[in-house]
Amino acid sequence: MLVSEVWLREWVSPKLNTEELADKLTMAGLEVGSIEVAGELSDKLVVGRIEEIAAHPGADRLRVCKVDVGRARNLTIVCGAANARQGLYTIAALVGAELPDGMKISKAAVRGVTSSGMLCSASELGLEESSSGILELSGNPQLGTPASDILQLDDKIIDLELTPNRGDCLSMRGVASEVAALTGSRLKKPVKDIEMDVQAKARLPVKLTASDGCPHYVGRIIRAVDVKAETPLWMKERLRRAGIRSLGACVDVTNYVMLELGQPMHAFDLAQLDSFIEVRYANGKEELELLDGSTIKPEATDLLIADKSGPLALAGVMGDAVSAVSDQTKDIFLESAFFSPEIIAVTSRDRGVRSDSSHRFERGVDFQLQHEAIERASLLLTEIAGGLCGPIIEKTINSKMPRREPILLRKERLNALLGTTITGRQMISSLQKLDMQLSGKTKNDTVRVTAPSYRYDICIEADLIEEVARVTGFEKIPERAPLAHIQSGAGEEKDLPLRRLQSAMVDRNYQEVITYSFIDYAMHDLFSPGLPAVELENPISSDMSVMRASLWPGLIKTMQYNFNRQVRDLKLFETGRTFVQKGKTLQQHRYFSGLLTGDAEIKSWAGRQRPVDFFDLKGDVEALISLGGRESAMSFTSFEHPVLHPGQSAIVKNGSDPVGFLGRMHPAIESVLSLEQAVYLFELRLDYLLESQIPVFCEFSRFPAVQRDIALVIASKIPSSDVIKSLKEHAGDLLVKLELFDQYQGEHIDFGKKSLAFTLTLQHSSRTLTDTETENLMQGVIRGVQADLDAQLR
Amino acid sequence: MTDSESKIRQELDGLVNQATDEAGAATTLSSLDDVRVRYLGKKGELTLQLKRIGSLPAELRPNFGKWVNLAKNQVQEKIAACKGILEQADLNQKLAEESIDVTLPGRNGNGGALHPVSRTLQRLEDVFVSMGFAVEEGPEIEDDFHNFTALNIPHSHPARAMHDTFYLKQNQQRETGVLRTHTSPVQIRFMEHNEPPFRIIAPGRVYRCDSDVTHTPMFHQIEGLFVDENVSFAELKGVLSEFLKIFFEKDLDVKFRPSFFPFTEPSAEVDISCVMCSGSGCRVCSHTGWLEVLGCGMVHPQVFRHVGIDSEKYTGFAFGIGVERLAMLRYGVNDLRLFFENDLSFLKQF
Repeated sequence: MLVSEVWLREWVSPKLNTEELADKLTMAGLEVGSIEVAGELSDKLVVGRIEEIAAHPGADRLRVCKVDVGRARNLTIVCGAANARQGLYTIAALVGAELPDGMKISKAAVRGVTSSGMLCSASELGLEESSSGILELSGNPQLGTPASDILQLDDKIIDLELTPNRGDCLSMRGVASEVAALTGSRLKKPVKDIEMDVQAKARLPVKLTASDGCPHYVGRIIRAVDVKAETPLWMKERLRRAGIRSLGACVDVTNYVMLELGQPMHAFDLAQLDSFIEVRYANGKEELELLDGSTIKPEATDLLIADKSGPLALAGVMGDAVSAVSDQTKDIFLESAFFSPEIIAVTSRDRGVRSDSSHRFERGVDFQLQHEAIERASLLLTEIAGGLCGPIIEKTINSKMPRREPILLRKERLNALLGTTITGRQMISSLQKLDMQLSGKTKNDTVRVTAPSYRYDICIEADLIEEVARVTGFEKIPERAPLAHIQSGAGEEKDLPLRRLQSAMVDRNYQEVITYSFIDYAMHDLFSPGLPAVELENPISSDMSVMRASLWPGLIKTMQYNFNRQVRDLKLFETGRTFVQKGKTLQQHRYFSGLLTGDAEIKSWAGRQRPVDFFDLKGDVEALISLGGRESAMSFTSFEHPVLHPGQSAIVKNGSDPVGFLGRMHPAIESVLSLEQAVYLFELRLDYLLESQIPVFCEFSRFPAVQRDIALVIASKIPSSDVIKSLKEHAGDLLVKLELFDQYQGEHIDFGKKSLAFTLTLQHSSRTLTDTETENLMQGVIRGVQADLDAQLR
Repeated sequence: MTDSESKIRQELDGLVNQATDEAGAATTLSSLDDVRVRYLGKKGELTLQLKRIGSLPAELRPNFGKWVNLAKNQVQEKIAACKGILEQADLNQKLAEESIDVTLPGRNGNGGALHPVSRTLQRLEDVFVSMGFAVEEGPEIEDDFHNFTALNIPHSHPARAMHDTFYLKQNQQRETGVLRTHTSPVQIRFMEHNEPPFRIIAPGRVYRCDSDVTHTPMFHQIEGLFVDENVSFAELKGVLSEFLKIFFEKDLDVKFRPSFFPFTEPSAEVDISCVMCSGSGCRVCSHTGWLEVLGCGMVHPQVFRHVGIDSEKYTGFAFGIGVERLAMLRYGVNDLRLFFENDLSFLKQF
């Protein structure tokens, strides 16, 4: 809401300068976004009067004016405007003036006549987008007065960024009431209540069929209106300062009354109306071509203004092109109605049509204002454009009208909620400033309060408490450290904090990234083939249209972004949710995912460069898992994942539950993405990583341990984990440690075989092992792995 | 002193001088050892002198032994001194040979870092956890009830238009879903299953259908909720002022302005004196001296009603903080979009 300070001060004028006033408004919840001056014009633009006017000797369309600008001698100015005439007060640009568009005025010969200046139109002064003819000033202003004084361009425009609960401040009267309440200044009433004389017998039946949407409708016919009448400069200026374009007298008057009192209105061309006006819901079969040029199909929830032939307007939102006032209009039908906020809000949003009118109706328009507004508009319109007023046509369905129920306000509750010691007297005085009605049993401690009809945000006791706090000032509320029951915020010991995992990866040279949760459909398809896409109805762009089912696409995108900036060695991780539709449920599990590519170590003078491989990846994954102390329950097994290299990928399981995957990206995907280096990926369910094992003490042996090394030759396709499993099984409880210290293939080993070398550490819990015992055990172990895996001792 | 006495003394002095000269001239420990052997060894010249004792006149014999031992001691001392010097030189040389360029970088330095949003979230959590708040989480795809209705934002409320909600495409399998527009639904989910008193914060990603210089379609919020008996707006002010001063490590001016959120009443927005210019006015605070940093208010009775909490017995306050906003102010980041470009030149700075 753009508020002209000059206009506001006609309503209420506290002894505060603009900044102080703005601060007062901001601190009362009507946030001032900016303050700007209404306009700036050169001092060389002054009031002048055309004293003489004569034809230009050399051009038919031009005329030569003698203009009095309050100096000793009149100026000769050549002018082409059709409305230039003797006696007209207008604005003259003197030699040396600069217009808002940058044009500089100098003495110049116009077709042989020397012109010492220029007579200005409103558009040349920056007051309108386009004008026909020069500006016409009314009254008899002092000649030579600067235009900026006459037009009050030093007026400040205060931009109020209103919250949606304060629809009552979307008018000058509303803002003024608020200012009066906040400052204690008297609210003046520059607009008198009037009742127009009825001069025409003109009625149009009004039917309120949808009374829940429109319980109150006021209309009036005004005959013989001069729709081409010029809107006076003062009104155009007020509209301009409120950010509204002048669109002819009828529309300007309705907009003006909306700004002044807060009642959106509409003017119809009476000639286009068929038989009656009906406010009803759409039947779902109609179309409406709106004033903004769009065509909509109203649905059954949309309220319409219709006549016998069909819809005329989306009620409270926008009229149609046919019934609007045009240049040919002679008689008009003015509408001033109350529409239900909920219905207008839904229609405006669902149809995607917004207007100054819908903006106000959906926030709530004073339901007692309609009659006053139509009288005000009738007065203004007939003053500007003539016309004969018909009688007021008013329909009210009382049972459907909004009501303001009294609300109980307890002083004790107020102070408990605010933490204040406001007295009953202060409480009551704050409410009275806001025109709240106090009724019922009024004691100082408990009052019954009825909000004015223009306040839609006062429904419960807490709303009244906020009002008292606002008027008192939030700064008056003390600041206090709370007294609360001690509650430990420490979680369970088994819950590993996420930051422990993050720190571990950072310490292993990983960079954390945060990528968008929505990705490109193609990336989804590539990385989550077969999973249905969880798509957005209204994405920002097509590459952000699908909710990610994996964190890998985001990591890949980040990798490519940095590749393009010459960074080719990357270790990245991200934590976050994925979104997967499983039957009727939408799973939103949290994952911890990572990407490695390029060199394994940070490039250094000391090390040999080596590209990352699967075991760098696995080492990092193992490090993450070991933070929770659950590595013994976790297994890695070869697994074919559509995104990963079939020979270099594994599934991680906790017991039999899958925890995640790791591996090299499938070469086919590498080629789709035109990658020139191998990329390794992991993705693990965060919930498993965050649940740690609480240590349980085990008795340990203090007797000497013996170590035995064995090298076993087995088929190369047998995974080492099978060998380890077999060794452990056959060694039994005496085996306290098993280390795989070598893997070898090549000379002296048959093709298709490999050698694995292990150190077994054996220890008895309560005595020293004898050599015989050890040898027997080792023989048993070797026989065992031979039997299990056809392993041969090397 | 007799002639023969002085002759013997001269001979011995001559040997001592000769030996000390040779010791002084030795440049290596082994040549020094050669000197020792030559004079003090079993067959060394000074050692052999003692064997002359039988051939000496009787009156000289008692002193001769003393003179030889004195001479041997002199030579020994000299050799020990020379040995010390040579060993020191040797050590010096060894140390010189072993010197390295200590300005070369160390191996496997730390190249990783947390994302600045995570860093900020951790700091925020630390502040609130130390005040007794527990950390809660909730889903990012929400239903209409939790994101709006339960928070007192019915379908027809104009506040819905402010939220620029992302909707999921309709699907027969599920109810309509929205990407949560704020972390406030976590309040509802928590209160549905817990009895007051409680203090929680809920950090996480939120989404709004808006993208320009100052908006990204995804960002982070941290929600706070404090419910107990006798919690008032004064405590809200106390907790949030304290939080802001701790977070920015400055004795800031903090201003509470009335505002509007459908789920709190009264509602406020909080401004702090600009952390960049200390309130004198700069580009960051649009020359106002103030920065808007968070929204808050007393929990609306309607919200309590939706989750079955007696609003006569319990009161509470809630707040919502934009994490990127605080990260920008704290670290001087001048473009919101940097957070999600993930350019390593940016990320490595944190």
